[in-house]
Amino acid sequence: MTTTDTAVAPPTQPRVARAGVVGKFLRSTTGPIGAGVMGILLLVALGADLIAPYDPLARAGAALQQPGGEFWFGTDELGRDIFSRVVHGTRLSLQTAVGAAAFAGVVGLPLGVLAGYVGGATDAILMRITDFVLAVPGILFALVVVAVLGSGVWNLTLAIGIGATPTFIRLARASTLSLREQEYVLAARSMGASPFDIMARTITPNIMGPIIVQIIVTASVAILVAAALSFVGLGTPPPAPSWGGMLQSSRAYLFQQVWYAVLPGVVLAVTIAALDAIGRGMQVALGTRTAGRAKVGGMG
Amino acid sequence: MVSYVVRRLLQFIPVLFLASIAVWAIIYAVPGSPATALVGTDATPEALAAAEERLGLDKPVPLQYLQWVSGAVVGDFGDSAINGAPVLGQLAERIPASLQLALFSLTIGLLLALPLGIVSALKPRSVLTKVINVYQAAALAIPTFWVGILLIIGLAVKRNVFPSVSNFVPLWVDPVGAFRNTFLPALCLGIYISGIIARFVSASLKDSLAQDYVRTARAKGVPEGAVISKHALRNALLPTVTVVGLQIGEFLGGTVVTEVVFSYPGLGRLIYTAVTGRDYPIIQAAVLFIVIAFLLINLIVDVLYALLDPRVRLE
Amino acid sequence: MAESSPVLEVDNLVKHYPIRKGVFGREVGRVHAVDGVSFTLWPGRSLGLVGESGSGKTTAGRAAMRLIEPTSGDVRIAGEPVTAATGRRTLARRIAMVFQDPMGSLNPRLSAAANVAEPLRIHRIGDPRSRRQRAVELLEQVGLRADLAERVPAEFSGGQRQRIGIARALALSPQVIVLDEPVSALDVSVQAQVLNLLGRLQEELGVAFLFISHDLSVVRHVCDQVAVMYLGTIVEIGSREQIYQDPRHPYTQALLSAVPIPDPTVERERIILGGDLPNPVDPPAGCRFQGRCPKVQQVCIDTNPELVVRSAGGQAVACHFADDNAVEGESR
Repeated sequence: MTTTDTAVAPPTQPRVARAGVVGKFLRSTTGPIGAGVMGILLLVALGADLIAPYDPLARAGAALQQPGGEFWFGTDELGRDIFSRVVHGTRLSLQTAVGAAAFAGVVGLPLGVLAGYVGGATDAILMRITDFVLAVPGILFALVVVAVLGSGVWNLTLAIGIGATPTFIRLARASTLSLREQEYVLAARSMGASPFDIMARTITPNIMGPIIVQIIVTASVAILVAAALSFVGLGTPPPAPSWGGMLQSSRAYLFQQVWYAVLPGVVLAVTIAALDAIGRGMQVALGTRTAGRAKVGGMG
Repeated sequence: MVSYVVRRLLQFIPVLFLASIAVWAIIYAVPGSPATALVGTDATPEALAAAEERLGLDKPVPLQYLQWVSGAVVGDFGDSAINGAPVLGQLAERIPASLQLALFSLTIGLLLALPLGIVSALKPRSVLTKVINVYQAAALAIPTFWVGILLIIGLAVKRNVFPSVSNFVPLWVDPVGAFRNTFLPALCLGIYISGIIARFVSASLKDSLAQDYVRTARAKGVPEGAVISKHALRNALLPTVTVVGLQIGEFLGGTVVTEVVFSYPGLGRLIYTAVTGRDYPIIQAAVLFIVIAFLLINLIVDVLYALLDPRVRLE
Repeated sequence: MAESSPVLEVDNLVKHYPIRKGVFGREVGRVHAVDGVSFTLWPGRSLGLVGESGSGKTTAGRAAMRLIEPTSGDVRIAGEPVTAATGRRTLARRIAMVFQDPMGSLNPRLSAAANVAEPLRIHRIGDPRSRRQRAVELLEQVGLRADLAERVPAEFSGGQRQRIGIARALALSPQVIVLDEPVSALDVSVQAQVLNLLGRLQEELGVAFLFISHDLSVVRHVCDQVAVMYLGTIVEIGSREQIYQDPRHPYTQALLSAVPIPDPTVERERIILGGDLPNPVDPPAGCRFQGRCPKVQQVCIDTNPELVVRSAGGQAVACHFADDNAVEGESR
């Protein structure tokens, strides 16, 4: 979020087109809260080594201690500091989120623009492929891809990314179709611009609004799906401090250390809620109503 | 209408073709020999030979596909690599369980969502609506499996109101038992979808409250309660059919983790066990089934929507 | 201005759109958007293409510059035939376009200078620095101060945006500019400024204009030659004086009768046309204007009148009774 844009707006005449969107985002109810929380989480992810008081993978004290001054979130069944694991888990989660969303965006956006602009057989084939992938619930798709590729952080990221790609294709295609008849696209053609030039330089920059919203939505879904898969043992393999994996281990110790099951879950939910809040704020700011969530299959 | 349905069904053909290729290729994409993938690494040499025969590995690749797909068309997906039972039978066993869970979840979801959505549309600036908004955000952000853990802690383990392992008890055999067994997983999923549905109901009710026919009804002195229930709500709920219908599609297989948490024997857990046990014939059949079911549900939802709302033209 | 050779020749241009129905996209009819349009444009001159909306003037303009592929017909630019193989890139350097909607035709993400520099970038002329410099010069040429160059289209008024659009059309120094209703989205006072700018640019640069408009008074202000279109065909074409002072086609006469005359002493009969523009899917067999013509006869229903030259001055009219149609007494 470039929150600085409005502050340095020139006194003469603000750049209505851009500052307007940022301003609206900042004035939306959910946007700034989400952005603030996400900012903190990003700092936590980047500075995990500095913030975490203990090694996330090593024994720090007695097993299954209650939260307290020494271990803020308590310790797990192997005596590891849960807070440190949650902090490092943030890095892991955001890494997956960024990776999956970037993959889906980088692959889906050009394909969608191509389908929308070129039309014809290219469009028909791409649409049938998206029909197929969208017919499989997101989590199940990721599960099957992991079943084929094997588990692991990068396979997980790839699996989620592939599953999220069709939504980008659809979205970019729909946006392209609505732009295709715009006069400035026609104008670019009249100037002799090649189809590639028109797609890359005229259409793509003008459909980035909804695409960025979708990237945020995808990031939140990716975190959810990654946690869900790790929870059932098919995501990030232990001993990596994944949130889903921690919640899985915690189930055996619900009576001894209930916070073990609660606190990582709270952080997970807050992260997803923060991303959703940003997404909704951006939708308000851009005046779009793309409820992309249900279609990405965010059910845990 | 008929020509629309025919056209949509025709559109299924390429999708199913792609899906069948993707599903068939799973076996080949797995590292190692496809035959090993089919029967598992510790299979007897005879079983391995049978699998190779079944896959037609000595034939050209297109023929291998045709051989597989011609079996699939008549429902022959082979036998499970784990227990040797025919795949189709195992799949058929799980479908009623998944449907029952979907039914319970949707009921809970609607019971939660309708009042919330209506209140937040009617009183958009009230404190209650702010609370509802937080609930909606939370419902979408809190993973269902975590809700599941919390529910198990609270209601199953500590109070023993519900079993912590949910068996499939068919509703038509033992309604009380069905309720007791399905309630917790259905509540997890119901809370999640209530977030989606409530937002949707609220948005579409707000839209229809702003319509001219609502203003006309008010202007001619229709009591406010009747304006809302007869004029605005009825029109606002029509599009909800679409969302709810699409959720049913999502429920077939999309509830893997919840089913795992509660050990519920639905389609999702069947696939989960198949994935962990590398039981590829099951995965193949289940994915193909889910694609077909999803496409059909989508079509039914669209047709239903058009039947309910005469303004909608199917094209 | 005795230029010897025409800069744009359009011969028998046709654009039909098939109408498809059903699962298999069977062709059930054709929209005759443009049906045999011919005209010639001379260097430094302006040809006005006038008609109601739906008359095919925009399609004719776009097909003439191959922005849409014509069904048939020949186009020559400075004597060279233009075909599908010519490619837009080559063509774009000789013929440019100014669009009706000055907001919609500018890329909202690019600054004014960047919008004007787009053609240069596309044709890889110069480096970014020199392109920007050239863009600023062009902006100044159309009357926009250099310090506005970095603003985005949303920050300009309608007239200013259209100036940007004109500057952009000039960037590749084309021989022809197709102006599609360039002022109809603007306020009347702004219209005059933009029209004056166009006149000045034409004088300075010797560029030819194909000026598409529904507004006869605007066309009168800018064009030396006027072609009146009706239902995909030209029904009358001639010099400005001929068309405005001696219109021979009943349709032209009806259109002109609706144009206000800034002279209270002149009395004139308003010709009110009944009905709407007929559906161009199945144009009538005879004269296309038969359904609305106040002077319709049996021959009009039977045979379609050719566009024939009726006078020494080159005025051509597609009407069986063109010679009888000279308006007695009233000739402005």
